[in-house]
Amino acid sequence: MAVLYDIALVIGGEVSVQPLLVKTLQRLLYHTSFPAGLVFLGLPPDDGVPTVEVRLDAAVGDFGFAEMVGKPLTMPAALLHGVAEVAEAPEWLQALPGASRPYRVYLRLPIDHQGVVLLISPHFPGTQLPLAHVFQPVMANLAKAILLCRHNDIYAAGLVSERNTARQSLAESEEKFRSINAAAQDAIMLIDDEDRIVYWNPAAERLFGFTDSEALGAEVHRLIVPQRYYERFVQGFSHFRGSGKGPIIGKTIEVEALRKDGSEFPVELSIDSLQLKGHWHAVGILRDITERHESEVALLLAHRALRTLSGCNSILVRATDEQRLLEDICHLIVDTGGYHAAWVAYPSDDQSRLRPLASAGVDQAYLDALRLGLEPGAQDSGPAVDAFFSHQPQIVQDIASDSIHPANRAAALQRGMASAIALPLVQNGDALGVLMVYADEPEAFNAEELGLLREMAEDLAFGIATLRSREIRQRLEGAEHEQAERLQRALLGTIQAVALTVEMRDPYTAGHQLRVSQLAVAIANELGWSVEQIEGVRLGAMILDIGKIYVPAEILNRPGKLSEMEFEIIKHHPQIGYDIVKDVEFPWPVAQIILQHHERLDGSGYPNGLVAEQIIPEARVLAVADVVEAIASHRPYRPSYGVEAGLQEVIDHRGTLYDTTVVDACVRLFRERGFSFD
Amino acid sequence: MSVMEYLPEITAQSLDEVLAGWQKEYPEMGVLVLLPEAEKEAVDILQQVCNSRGTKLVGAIFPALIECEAFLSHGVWLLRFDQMPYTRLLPDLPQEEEALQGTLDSLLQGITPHLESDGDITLFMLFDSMVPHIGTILDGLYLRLANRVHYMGVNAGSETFQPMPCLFDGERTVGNGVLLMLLEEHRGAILEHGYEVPEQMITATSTEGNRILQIDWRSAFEVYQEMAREQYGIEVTRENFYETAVHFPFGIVRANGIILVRIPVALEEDGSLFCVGEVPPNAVLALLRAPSVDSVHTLDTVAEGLIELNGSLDGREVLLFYCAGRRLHLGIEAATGELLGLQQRTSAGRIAGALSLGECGSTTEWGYPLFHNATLVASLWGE
Repeated sequence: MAVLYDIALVIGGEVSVQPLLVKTLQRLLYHTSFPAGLVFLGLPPDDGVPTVEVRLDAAVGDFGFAEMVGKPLTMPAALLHGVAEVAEAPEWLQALPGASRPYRVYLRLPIDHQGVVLLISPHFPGTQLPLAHVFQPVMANLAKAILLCRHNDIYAAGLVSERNTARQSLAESEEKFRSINAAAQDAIMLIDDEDRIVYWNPAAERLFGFTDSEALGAEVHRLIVPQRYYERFVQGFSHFRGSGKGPIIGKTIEVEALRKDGSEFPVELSIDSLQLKGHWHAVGILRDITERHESEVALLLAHRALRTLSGCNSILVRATDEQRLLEDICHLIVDTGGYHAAWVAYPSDDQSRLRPLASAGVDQAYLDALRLGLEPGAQDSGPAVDAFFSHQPQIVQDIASDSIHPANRAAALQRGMASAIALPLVQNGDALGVLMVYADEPEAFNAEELGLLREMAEDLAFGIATLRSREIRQRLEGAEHEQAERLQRALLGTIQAVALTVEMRDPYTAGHQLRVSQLAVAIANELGWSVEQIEGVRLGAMILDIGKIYVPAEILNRPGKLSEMEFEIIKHHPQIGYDIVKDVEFPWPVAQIILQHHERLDGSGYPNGLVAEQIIPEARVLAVADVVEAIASHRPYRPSYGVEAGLQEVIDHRGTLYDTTVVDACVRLFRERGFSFD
Repeated sequence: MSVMEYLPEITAQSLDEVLAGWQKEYPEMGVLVLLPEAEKEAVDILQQVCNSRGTKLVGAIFPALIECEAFLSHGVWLLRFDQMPYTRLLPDLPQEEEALQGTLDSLLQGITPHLESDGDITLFMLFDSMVPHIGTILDGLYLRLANRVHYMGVNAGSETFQPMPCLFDGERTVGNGVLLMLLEEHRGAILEHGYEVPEQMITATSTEGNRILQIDWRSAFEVYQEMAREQYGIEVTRENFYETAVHFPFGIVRANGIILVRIPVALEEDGSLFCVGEVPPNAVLALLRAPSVDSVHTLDTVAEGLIELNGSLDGREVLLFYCAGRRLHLGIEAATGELLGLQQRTSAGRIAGALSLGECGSTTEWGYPLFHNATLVASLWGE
């Protein structure tokens, strides 16, 4: 009974088939001193065949058999089937596949409908107890236990499979989560409802400098929130604790955060809530926006400088007055550029100091108190003086801590100036002056902004220089113009004198050139010519017949029709006139006008028989004016035919001898505009 | 030249002389040292001498030594390995199931490469008697090694059952562990106790390793007292427990009628009893009336078993471990008588050994290895 009790307890204590079989075998061997035991489950029915193939399910005590567990063995059918018994069967046992000892004796213990236990030994057991019967009662229990354990194994296998699948899935999920979080450049943290950090990713470690072990369990607001914001964050979180809601939940905001080393930096914080085990947690994703912030500030500063520069150029383009230019620039820097103040200083007349000439955003008292001495060895010179001498911009990024330029520091700080830049106004290697710009905040001038401000200073210097040179030029130009006018007046006087001389030799044509000139100028005006061109026409007309100076007076003054030879002489006057004036430098083609005024469109004119476009416009105008005036005027050899006859003449030869537009203009003058000779 | 050398006095010189003599003939030799508890300080000298000679050393400390028919509390046994076998000294054996299985797997990995030869191999185990779960360890080893080795083992330590580092090699002296040796061409040991089984059985309803907490759902000591009183008319008290209990050990009953003896050696305040050797939970126990030890049967079994295994023992050298509890129970005279009886039955040339605090092995060849008390464990040495 005691043995049964012992084995029954072992059997009852197992929930899985394999341990059940092994431990049962161990207890059976323990109780019997048999050295080895085998278990076969799922025996084929006894149908009389001598051997059966059956799987070995458990083996204890024989290494050869232990190696065969789970494999099919060819076994004598009679050894497996039959009642419980201890028997000697060396012929069967020694032939067993896997046996590593010469077994002779077996103890067979059938397991009800489940299989069989075989204990095997080289000897008969040293006991007289009926071992075959001792264990039989527990074999029924073993059969039931095997069934239960099998069910449990299947169930457990299902659970294991499910668990493995779940574990694998979880592992994959965790791996993904780990990978994502390890790879994330943003700090990710999970905060429980007691403000404690319960998750802290590697990026958070890098960002804040706190290790995993330092951060986990720590109060988040104490750890990474600057002291001045602490109360506000704690207050906000107290509301979140109960409701999962808060003013910043679900939002992305920019805040200042605290590193382990005490330094602060700007972060973009996205925060959301989730519930874990009935408690609200906050997930925070924080991104270091230091660089972005700096870029934004830089962009802002650059934009400000660019705006200023653009405005500066606009002012420069329109500038006519240097003082006004300087004042406009200073106001632009302050009003448009958003800088605190600006002033421009030039060296005083005695070169002893820089003298502010224009300013904005700063009071006169400040300017008056500035120490801007230019004397050599001035010990308290400021950045403006340094810039003036060095021709290089001088930046004071933090006036408060500037030990190099102590001279004007106190007054600047008192007025809220935090940083400054002095820009030399240099043109052609000479410093014209200095432009000083102040900002409200320290470190306001970065490299990009410096570049733009430097460009602005260069433009301003150029503008100043341009204004100055324009003034000089204007003065020079005025003198030149006056001289030219004087010369022109002298020239006209000379021409008029010559024309008068010519007229005096031909009293019949006296006033002819003047009248031709009047009509020609009127036609040119009607044609919309420029003043300059009209002036050329007028001058040309006035000395149109200057060539007649070589025509003998008796020919010019002889009444009656000229002989052919005389007329030939007359026809030379354009060429002669041309020769007279060709070397005079007129701004107009006066010589060509004189030469061509008797040419006709169809080539019938003289002296060169030019046609159409070969004849300059001024000559075409004068041709019409000359003919109309000549026909309308009295001549020694005939009376006046009147204006209409003159007009009829040019109308009749409109397009053949005379330019159509010129003829039309002339006709309009007389018939429509009321033109008449004085 | 004998493979066993007893030195009544342990000096560096005497040790060195023996080792030098052996080393001349067996340059690859090693030595197993059996040291009585009274000479435990000599471990240092042994390690120094062996190290200086380059001799591999393993050993254990026992309550006393056996030299032919005598129990000796002084001197040292030097047992030669002609060629040092595979040994492993493992301290602080884990008790937790998973860790223990890991340790056993690790042991197996060390042992397996040395099991290639066709000859018999004996796994000789010297445990610290304070290890509480030797039976479980044996089960685990047998499950892994099965019949590839013979199993032979004894417990070392102090007879007072006070913790004492009792296992050593050339560098360390450790406790709560095991010293394993693979003895090649060795056919194992014979183990026998001859304790008879009484009628009345009890159940150890609650145990922890070698500690019986409850018997039949009552305080273990109360039941023990009651059974001793009812069966043998003996009054066991806290005061006389140690002297008395050795005569009335527990027996774990097995189906083949052969019992495992468990000698209670300590009594706790809560009434639980410490035994030499593990008592499985719910083990069926008997209170053995130890005086009915069948010495003749025991000696016959051991001698005949040895002869059956190894042939005639005439003039050959035998290793013998004798349970300290058995000696305590039988008394020094009877115990010495058993030694003499064994010498006579075996005609052994020399018997070397020690008093042990528990024994491992099987009562039959290739039998299931178990942990016993009160037995004699004998084997040949050095052949």
